[in-house]
Amino acid sequence: MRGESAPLVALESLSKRYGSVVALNDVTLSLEPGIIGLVGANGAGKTTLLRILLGLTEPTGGRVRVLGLDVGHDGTRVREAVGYMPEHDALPPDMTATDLVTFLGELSGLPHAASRERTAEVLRHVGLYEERYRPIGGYSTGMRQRVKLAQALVHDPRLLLLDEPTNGLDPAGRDEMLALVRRTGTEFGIAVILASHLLGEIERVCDYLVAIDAGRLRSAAPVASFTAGTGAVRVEVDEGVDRLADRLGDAGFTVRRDGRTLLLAVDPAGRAYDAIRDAVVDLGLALVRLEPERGSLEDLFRDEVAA
Amino acid sequence: MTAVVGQGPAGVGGSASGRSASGSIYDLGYRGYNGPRLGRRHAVAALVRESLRTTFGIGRGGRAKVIPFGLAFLVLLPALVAVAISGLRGQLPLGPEGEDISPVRYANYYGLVAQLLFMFAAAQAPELVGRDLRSAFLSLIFARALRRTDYVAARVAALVVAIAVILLLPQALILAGHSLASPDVLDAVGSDLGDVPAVVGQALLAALLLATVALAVASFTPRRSYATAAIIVAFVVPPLVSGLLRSLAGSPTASRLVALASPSDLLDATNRWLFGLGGPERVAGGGPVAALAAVAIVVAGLAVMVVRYRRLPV
Repeated sequence: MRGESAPLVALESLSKRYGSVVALNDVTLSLEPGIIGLVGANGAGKTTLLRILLGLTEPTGGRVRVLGLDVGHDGTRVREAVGYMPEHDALPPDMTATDLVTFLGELSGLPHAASRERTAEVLRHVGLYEERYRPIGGYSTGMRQRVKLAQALVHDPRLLLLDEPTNGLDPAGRDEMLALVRRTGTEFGIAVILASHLLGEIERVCDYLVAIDAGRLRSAAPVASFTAGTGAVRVEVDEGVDRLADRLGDAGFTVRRDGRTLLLAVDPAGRAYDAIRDAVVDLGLALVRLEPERGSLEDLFRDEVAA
Repeated sequence: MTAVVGQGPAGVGGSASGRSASGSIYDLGYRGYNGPRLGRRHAVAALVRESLRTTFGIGRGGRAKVIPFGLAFLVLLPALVAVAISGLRGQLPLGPEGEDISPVRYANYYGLVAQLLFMFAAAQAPELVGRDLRSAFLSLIFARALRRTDYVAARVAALVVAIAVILLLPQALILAGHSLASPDVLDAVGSDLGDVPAVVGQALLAALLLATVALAVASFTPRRSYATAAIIVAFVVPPLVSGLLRSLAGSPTASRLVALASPSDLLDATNRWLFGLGGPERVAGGGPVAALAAVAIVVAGLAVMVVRYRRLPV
């Protein structure tokens, strides 16, 4: 990692309004390098935030620093060190992948020969081979997404901004894209901000999560803090779940019914495990599942609905 | 994690890099880039170069070259005729006044090819800016180490250079033809040199005016056909209006004022002024005012484009 004392991204009371529509509302946030997931429903302000980080959209209020540089003043220098993969299709159909990526590499300041060399390398990296000499118009959605990722990587950026990179991909293509993103962040040493409305993707790839909702910052924390153990154990039996619930309740445990399973608070001494074992044996039930309950990112949004 | 990497056709990428790699392509590993980063000036230069290539359809397949090179060749035709005539003149006993049989001169070259230049601008300006609007490619360009005004400057510069070159090249050919065909090369060059400032001045003004008007119009639509039609209207309709006011409505003053906003009338007037030709004055104020009006339109066109691209959501 190239050492820098300034945070990767620093936002101070960032706001963006389009007329009367508020896209971002007073967002203050500081991010360190890593693989950062930016999650929110469609229209939550994810794309607006990424575009502001690039200087493509001007904020209505607040301050934005990326890699220690003020985006308003040093937009060109910020963009020199940032790669951007937009959500929508942005590739001219009559250009070949090689020509396109080489050209965009040069627009990032790379000399022509260096850009050609890097182009060959990044296209190979994203898995485009002989087709890179053919016009993009004939490419599949998966290939286009790869070209979009390659053009974002050609100048070896320090920060990669990805806007819904798995859009339109089939499950296998989705897996490959996410694996590539993960590798970009871990092996290539490039910080990644991945915007997605799919929590599962963020959970698989990211270390850190930023959730925005209707333009407001909802939470910013390591992904692990959402998926840590909740101190409960989930029990599933073949049948007789009511009898088991009664028996454990009588024994003084807090039991909650969740569909066909039971959630049981675990005491530090672990007496609950013994009690479950004994109850199952006494009642002659078939135990299917007994596992510690983990939180998931979806809880974040479930709380939101409750609130 | 269910990583499904490494499925690619193994060996293909290896052969492309000049080595017969065995095993997974993905295992070659990512290498960072530690070479020079040349920044915004290099980015703008690269954009100008790409714009020039686009103007002539280079790197875009054969069909894209037909119109620009076809029109450039047609612009060149009168010069080929002129050179042929000056070649013949040496063999025909015509004397010094033999020069006069050539219908092609520096003073009327612009007028001979003006319509072709309009067509060139109308056909190629949409190629330069329309595709970027059509495919949302601008969002990738503007995400690079340059500013939006740099994009405008690079596109305009390329079309200006292209038009100036296809207009100056044939006249340089005439100069060369005259000189080589005449018995006294130095004398021939000397007699033609006096026209060089007017030739260059007219070519630069025409290139600037046609390029900015065409690109400013083209920057408002991703549709190539609409853009081409609108540019042709901008070049063809104002002289028609001016002509109708003059001949039918009988209001020469109004006609001359309208001509001030007509790129083609302005360039006719500056050409007559630069070469010291007479003829009816169809633009209010004559040649010098026409030149100033042309510059004003260039400035206005650039301003329109800068504002347009600053506000454009990409």
